[in-house]
Amino acid sequence: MLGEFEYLILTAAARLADNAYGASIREAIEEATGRSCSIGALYTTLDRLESKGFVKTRMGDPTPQRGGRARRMVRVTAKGIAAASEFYEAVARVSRGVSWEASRTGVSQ
Amino acid sequence: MNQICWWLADRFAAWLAPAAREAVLGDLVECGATGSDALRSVLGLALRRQLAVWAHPRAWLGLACLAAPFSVLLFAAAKRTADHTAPYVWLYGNNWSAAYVTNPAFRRDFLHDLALILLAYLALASWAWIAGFAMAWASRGAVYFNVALFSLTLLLGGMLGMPQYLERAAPTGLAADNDAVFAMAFYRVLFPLLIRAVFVIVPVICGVRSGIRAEGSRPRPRLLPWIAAAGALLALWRYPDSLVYSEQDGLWRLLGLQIVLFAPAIWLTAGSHLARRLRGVHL
Repeated sequence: MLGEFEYLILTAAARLADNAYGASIREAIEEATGRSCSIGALYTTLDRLESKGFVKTRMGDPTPQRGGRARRMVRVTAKGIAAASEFYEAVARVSRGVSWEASRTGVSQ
Repeated sequence: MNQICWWLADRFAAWLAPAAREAVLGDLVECGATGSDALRSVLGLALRRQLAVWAHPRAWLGLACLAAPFSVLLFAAAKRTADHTAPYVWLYGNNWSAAYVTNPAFRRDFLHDLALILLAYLALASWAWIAGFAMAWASRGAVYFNVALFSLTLLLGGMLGMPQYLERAAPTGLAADNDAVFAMAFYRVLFPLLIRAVFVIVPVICGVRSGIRAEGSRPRPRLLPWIAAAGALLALWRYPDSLVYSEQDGLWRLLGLQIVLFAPAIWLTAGSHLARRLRGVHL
């Protein structure tokens, strides 16, 4: 079972597809959650996800806007997609019928 | 201030693996992070990585079975070596006269004493090198912490009263015989510190560098560094005087012991260099 932050990273990486790398994933998470995301937490979690086989990373080409440094590109694997789907379904199942879920879908209590 | 923080962040990023360093610093530049943000981020990541390393038993194995015993035993060995060689260094260093060289008996004694002093230092350096190699082999991630702890023990052990404990455990009895030498602050305080720094800490760092390089080339057999480390620990523990020449034992015994103990180190270094060379040819 994934952790919440692991799920956020997997979802952001899947959404960003070929443009998924450290800075872009961090920006996507901060926009979605409204909370700051530390580089340390991001890369430590990415390492963990990679060791579990949920993502694969490779070094991209260096770019001038990064001071000539390369990006660590992230790709979600089939195993990662399955784990994220399972997490999402579990959250959806456990949320069914609770007040905040009902109000979001417009169902009266 | 901003530039200083960026410079510091760049320095501290050296603790990270090269790929991680490249990606993290690039991300920080792209995000337009300030120097303090960059420094905090790099330090935070380095700390998290270091903590993650300690979740693996190999890191604790390296600390408990290598760094801790080697630091204490090499401290003791360095103290013995310094105590035994200081009178010779004083004898020739503080009383040197060019006129002595014309005397054949002096030349013979001088070369003999020089050989035994150099062999003792070589043995100390060899064992320290093996300790460094094995620490890097046990856990690359934990090796920086282990070497820092090792070096602090070596350098500050004297302040913590380690020599007194060691003296009680294994008295050398040399200080009384050479009071004139050890009355001098240089031979009592500075000389042992120099021996520890030059013949223990420097070889340990060289061993760590070789161990890190060898890790990538996977030399065989994999157990060899452990066997070499266990042999060095056993020799340091069981035969603490083997570093020091005595008339009964002879120079050959000391030299033979060093060759036996240093053979795994030579094998490992040669093996890793050969593997790297072969890999370079294939590429």
